[in-house]
Amino acid sequence: MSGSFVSRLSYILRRLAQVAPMILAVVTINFLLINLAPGDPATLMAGDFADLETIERLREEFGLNEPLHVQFSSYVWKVLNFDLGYSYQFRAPVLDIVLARLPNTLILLFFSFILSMILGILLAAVSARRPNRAFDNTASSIAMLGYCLPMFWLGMMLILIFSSTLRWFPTGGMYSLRAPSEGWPRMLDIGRHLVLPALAYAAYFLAMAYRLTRAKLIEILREDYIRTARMKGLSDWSVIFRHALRNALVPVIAVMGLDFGVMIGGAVVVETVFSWPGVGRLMYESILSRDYPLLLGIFVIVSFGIILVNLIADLICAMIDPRIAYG
Amino acid sequence: MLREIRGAILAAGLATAALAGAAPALAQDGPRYGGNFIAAIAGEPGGLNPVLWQGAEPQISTSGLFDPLIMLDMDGNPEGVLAESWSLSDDRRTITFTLHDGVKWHDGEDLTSDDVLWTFMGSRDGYMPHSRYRSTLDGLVESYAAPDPLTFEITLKQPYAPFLKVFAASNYAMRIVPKHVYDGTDIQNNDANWAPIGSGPFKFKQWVRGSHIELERNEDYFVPDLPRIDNLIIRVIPDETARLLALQQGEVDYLYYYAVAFSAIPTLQSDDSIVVTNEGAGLQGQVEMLTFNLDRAPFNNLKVRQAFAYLLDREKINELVFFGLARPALSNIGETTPFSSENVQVNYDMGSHEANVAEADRLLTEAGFPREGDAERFSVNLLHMSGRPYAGKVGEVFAQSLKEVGVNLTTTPLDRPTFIEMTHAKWDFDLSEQQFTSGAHPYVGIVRYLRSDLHIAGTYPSNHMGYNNPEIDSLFEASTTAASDAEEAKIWADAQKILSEDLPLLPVVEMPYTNVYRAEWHDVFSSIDGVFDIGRTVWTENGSESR
Repeated sequence: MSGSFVSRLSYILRRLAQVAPMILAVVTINFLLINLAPGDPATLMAGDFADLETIERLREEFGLNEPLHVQFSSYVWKVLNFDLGYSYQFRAPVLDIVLARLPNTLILLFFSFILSMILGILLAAVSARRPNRAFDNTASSIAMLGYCLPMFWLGMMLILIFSSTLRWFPTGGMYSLRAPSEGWPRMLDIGRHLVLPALAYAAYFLAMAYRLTRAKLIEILREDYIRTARMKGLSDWSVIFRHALRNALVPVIAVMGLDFGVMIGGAVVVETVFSWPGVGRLMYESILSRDYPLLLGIFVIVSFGIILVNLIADLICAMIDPRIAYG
Repeated sequence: MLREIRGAILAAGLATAALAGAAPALAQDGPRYGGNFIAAIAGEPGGLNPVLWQGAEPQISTSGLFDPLIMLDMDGNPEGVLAESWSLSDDRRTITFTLHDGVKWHDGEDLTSDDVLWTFMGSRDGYMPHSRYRSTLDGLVESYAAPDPLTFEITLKQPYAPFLKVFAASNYAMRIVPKHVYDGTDIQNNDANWAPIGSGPFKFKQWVRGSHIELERNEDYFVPDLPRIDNLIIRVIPDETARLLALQQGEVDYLYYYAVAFSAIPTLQSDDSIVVTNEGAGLQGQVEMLTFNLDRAPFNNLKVRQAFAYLLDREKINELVFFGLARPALSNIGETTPFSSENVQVNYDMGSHEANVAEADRLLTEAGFPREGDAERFSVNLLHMSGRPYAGKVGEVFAQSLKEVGVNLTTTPLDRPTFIEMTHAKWDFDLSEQQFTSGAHPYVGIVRYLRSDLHIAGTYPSNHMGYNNPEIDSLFEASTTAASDAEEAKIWADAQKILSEDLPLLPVVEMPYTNVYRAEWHDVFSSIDGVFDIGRTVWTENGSESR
């Protein structure tokens, strides 16, 4: 047991040690990409009536006059000291801005992720029990739709149906501003605002979890040990949930972990359609305003998040399937 | 006799109808109190200092917090806000403002002329520059002074008649910020930029990043009876369709003209619960125009530009692109801007489409671009800014007309930063589609992109076309010293005529300004250009009769 604990710990430490070079690579590539894109942040900051002096002062203030390699090395040095710099647009530390928005994105991500995993896996289990029958065909077609529909379109349709027509949910935002509330009513209020964006968001990942789990389950259900379990007289459901699903989930979790990056991309779309005040939208806004430090800061934090989530996914996989060694 | 009786009956009928129509309004006359007025904006402002941050979003978020000295009333005449009165000296160079006594900042400190002086000097000395004011009006001023706590003086270099009017216009008005909060601090990074202390009808309550900014009624506001609402809330909704649905749903009360798609206007107009109006959007003069790169072939040739002028079908563009809501524009001075005139320029129109095509054909051949059969003469590219609902469509319609004379017009959409870089820093374009506002006065509105010494790479807007006509430069100069309105009108008419002869640009349409709000709200605007200053007088039918 202790040997396993030590090997697990050293595995985690080794994985964490990979974070620094990866972050450095992310910073380098993105710093260059962003700086190669046309568009002068000082002109944008100065506005439509700016005089040259103002623009020059802004360039000076934000160090935009420095040669690129000087800007780069000073940025890397700051990142190493956990300083992500200063946003041009908000004139506030990048870390503060991102941290203020991060919980909102995490709430959305968490609910969508749980929703898509639970529903996707359950539906897959029911489908895999009798493949190519009515339920499976219907569920597979719907999953295919969820996978194909553009997220912004689905979001718009959800708003049109559930808020404009049925008036069950608000069209967007995170709080009711007409009658602000505190405490539990406020949580409920946020919950009501969360339903539609979480659904729009979950559709794609639900479809993905469903398709992966279903395919793997169908494959596993043909294996010898499943036949053995059936012959012992176990019920269908017991076979699926206690024996087959455990093995089917390993690749699903690994892929969903990898797809965390895609989820962040989805956050940009869903948060914009639903006016959800999260990091995805902040990223979109920072691109439009050429707020380099903010954009880079978001990239750094998101990359760190992706690496962390993949590490967690690996650990969960190893927990489900003890055969996976910490290599 | 019979006709008279019929006329009388008709008149009585009309009067009854009018009364019936007026009845609901009579039922809820007079302001009511309470309620939250919610305006939606497309993007979040960088900060809430009204001097440091300019543009629609910061203005709508800060106008309720900070007062200017004067503003324009609904008829466009200067009206006092912080200033109780003002007078002009005999030599018409010095304006003396007398401030209201007893005005307090939201933290309880007195507002004095020292705050006013400090705010204006911030722009002049560059410690807190107001980009619009600094690049337009500051240059006309010789000195600012605060001889006693309630007096503030501006002395101009020379008499300039339109000064007060432009000074009061909402886009240029200096909103006064508290010296005691800012002086001696790092102004750009002062915490008050995000949790402001103002003197206006609303106090800052909270800013939930990415979601909304909430302002609450200033109970100690020095103007009795104002404001009428409890809270003014500015909500960020980046998606255009989502903004519209939120308005129709009643989650939002107000959308200013940028925030509404033209395509949605007809639907909104037929909705009784929503008011569609151009009230509050005076003095904007937002003109959509095509600008030529005059340093580059083929547009360095006047005949080519003339040919393009003959082929530009403004009516068709208005119909197809702007749903007939815009106004075809021959001048780059908008209709609501002073000295606008649509009949002083050369109009490139032979009377019929066929004749225009024939004339363009002739001009292009003369310009050295003969056409053999149906062959293409040349190909040019139009750069435009992506993201707007009508982006690229003006070019598409124009391209159809140009095709008839063998000119191939391609269009390239660019995001705003890239677009500005290509057109205003690198000058790497053939044609570009720009939108500039002529604002409260042509001197502040159009000179900035036409005067020859403003051909400066990297400033936006500026004379990116490379237009250079000393005659225009001297007319612009002369306009600042015109002795009378009539003299100034003549100067601007001459300038517009020369511009239409030189054709550095083709005005296309003046944009429609359709502000929309929910019908239970009244007195949404308190100024002719008060599109971003909406909390001051607004009240709701659903409010209570007293506080």
